[in-house]
Amino acid sequence: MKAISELYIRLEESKNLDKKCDLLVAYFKQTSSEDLLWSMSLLLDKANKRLVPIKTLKEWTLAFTNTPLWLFDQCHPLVKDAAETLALLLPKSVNTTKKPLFDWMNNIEQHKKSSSSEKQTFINHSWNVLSKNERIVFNKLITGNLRFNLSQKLLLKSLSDAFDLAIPSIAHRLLDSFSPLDDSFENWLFKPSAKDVNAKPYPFKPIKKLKLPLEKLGDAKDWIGEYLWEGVQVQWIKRENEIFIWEDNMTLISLIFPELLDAQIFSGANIVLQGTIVLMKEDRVLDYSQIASRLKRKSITKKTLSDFPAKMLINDVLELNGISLSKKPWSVRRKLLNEIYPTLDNKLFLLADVIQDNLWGPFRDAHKDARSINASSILLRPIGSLEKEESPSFLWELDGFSVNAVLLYVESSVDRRSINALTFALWDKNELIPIAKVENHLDDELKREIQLWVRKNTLEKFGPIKSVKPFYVFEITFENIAESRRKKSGLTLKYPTLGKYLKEIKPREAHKLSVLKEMLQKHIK
Amino acid sequence: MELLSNTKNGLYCEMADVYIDPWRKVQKALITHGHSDHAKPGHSQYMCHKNSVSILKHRIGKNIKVRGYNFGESISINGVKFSFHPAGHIIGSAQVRVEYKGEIWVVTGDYKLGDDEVCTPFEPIKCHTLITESTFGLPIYKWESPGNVFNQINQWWAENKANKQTSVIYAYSLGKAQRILKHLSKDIDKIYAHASIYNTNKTLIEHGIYDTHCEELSPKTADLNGALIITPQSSTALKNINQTHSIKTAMASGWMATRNTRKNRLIDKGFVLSDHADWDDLLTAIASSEAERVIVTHGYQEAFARYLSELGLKAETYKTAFEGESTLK
Repeated sequence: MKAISELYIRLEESKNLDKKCDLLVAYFKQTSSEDLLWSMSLLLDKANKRLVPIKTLKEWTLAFTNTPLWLFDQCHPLVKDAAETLALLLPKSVNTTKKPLFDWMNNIEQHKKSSSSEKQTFINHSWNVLSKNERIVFNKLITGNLRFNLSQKLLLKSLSDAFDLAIPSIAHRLLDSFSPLDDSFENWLFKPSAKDVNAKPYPFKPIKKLKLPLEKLGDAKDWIGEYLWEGVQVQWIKRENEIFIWEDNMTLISLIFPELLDAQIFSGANIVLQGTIVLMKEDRVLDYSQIASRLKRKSITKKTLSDFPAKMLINDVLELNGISLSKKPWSVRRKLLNEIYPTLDNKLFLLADVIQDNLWGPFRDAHKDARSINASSILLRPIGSLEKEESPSFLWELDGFSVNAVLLYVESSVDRRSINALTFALWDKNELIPIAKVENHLDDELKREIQLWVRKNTLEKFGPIKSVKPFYVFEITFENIAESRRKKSGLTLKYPTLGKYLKEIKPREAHKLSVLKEMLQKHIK
Repeated sequence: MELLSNTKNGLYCEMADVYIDPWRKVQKALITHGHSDHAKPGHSQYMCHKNSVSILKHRIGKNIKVRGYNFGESISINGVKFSFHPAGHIIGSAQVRVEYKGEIWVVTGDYKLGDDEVCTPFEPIKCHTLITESTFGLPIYKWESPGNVFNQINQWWAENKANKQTSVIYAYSLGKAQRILKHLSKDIDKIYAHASIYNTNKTLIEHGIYDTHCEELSPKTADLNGALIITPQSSTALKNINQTHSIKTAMASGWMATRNTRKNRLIDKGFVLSDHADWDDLLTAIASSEAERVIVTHGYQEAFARYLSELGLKAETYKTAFEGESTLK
């Protein structure tokens, strides 16, 4: 209990991922294998060890410590967390125990069926041998409130670093259910399984952004273009009748898209498709925020599935009938896609139309029309291109937008020596409404100038954030705009970045919020 | 007429015409300790424990009229007997005992139990009426043994040093800073204090009431890799540190006892270390005073007084202008 509690508290304290990874690796290396599978079940938030509701635990704590209810009510708002408040109310801990985690977990498991008074005795005895941090974690655990909220990517990286294993072959183990009661950590992590091979994706290759004029690419007829939509870049793998979906950041996200997991949707043998998963409403591709919120979910409800169904836009086929196609040129792979597509369920898969012509004109027209169908860019691939180490393809992004906005809030860094982020606003009548928070990419000189200026021109302070007088006007560029009910402005900008400092423009001459609202009307029809 | 009463100027003994820790300018002021919410400038005459004299002069002004007394030394004013007794809060901190015709009151000022090895430890004084602080007067505040906390601090420094980082601890310049410096591991070869702490230490060392030396942090201090800096938390505290140094910040305070306050501060780490009594020690101190009546001041006075009443004690509250332990001090 001690090690896992320290881990819980320290993971919460550390702000950066490398540090969290170091903590996990150290934990994995120090922990006995009997405790490790239980640890995994806790770290994955899979162990349901609820013995009592928090309300009952509160009654028992108040009785155990002789604390009147009104005094608890005074303390709770200061601590904010009920399980922690109860832990803090307990008498100072004097005893400790070396009882290993698996023993604790077995004890808790055994008490699930105990009578209320047996549970109470067990809990009182447990408190007597636990330290402050252990009690916090124990209270959370037995009330079903212990959540580590760690990403699969972080856990995979830590496991892979600690035990020297390749991520693609262990990822599926985190998704499958396992029982620490019946299984061993060694079996779970090291025992070879057909899935280790079957789940393996091909490397995802980053695609370069197109920064040259089209003509520099040569003859238009050597290129094939196709629309891309905002979504999750994935490989959809069906091998030995089992489906695996990998995100391009090497996370196995099969469970997020249950609609795409039925082996029946493709009757053929082993295949690896690459593409983009998007969420659809009627015939429209929804913007990224929708799919981002689905990626955060632990379980997907029926309502989500029926309201915003997922579809996969296929861009490429990397393997067919168990044979890698990486040596075949794109024109051949595209032909294969055309042949396979009719055998796939067209409610779940879409094959983008290609843009092909002897001249660049139609490519440009398609680029112009992209926003009207909510596409986010055009992927250009040479007809003869092989799946090589460095992709010869280009991502032709849509033209961005920009507005002139007034600096409203300045957020300092943790050590107060630098600026973390700047929030910009536009005018709505006489009020400045925040529209975007951007990272500080100021050059040193301008940063120092602003820091000095902020000292003398702060209006209000909210922790690290200071509101300042309207003075600095900057160009803010962004890729797209969407509605947002949560924001005061009613809209959200996608990928806002800090543009030029517009020294000549007075704050009053910055743009009005109505400019963005018109943009929104034009693009969301 | 009560022996002591709560007036707009502060705690007042009408019989002797003296105030205890008054927050407005008065003629005669008895001062429990040198923190700025207790020792205000502008009084005509200061009386305090002898170890507080140099502190008051350092913080308020060289020319103030101040007289120091030994612990237990009796001061008679108009038939009322006053004396100072150890409070264990910071160097020179004292409780004030007031006796008139057999009736005894004790004003604790700020205090903690246990020996911090920097100041004289708290001594319980028997009295009829006890006026106690209640900065941490809620049962969620229970301190770990300070030895453990100092181990945590030393360990944290070692970890940062291994990562070539500079450790910065935020602590109040009078009290917490001296206590931490005293208990830092001998392995820490580079320890620097912010000017306000350095100057306080210098005064204390000159007067023979503190003995831990350290260097002053200056803009010229170049080699900060693996160093430990102790400074009050303020916007300018770190301006003397070269921006290229990677730093880790920590705060040592009783408020660090809950995860929520740790998160709300701009710090990497919180150490639970307080110069105030925790819940258990407040109750212990009250019990050992054997007071029949307890008046609760600065802190969670309402809740704490209510709890004492439910225990069967005669308890009430005074509203005062003291701030208790503020993390921003």
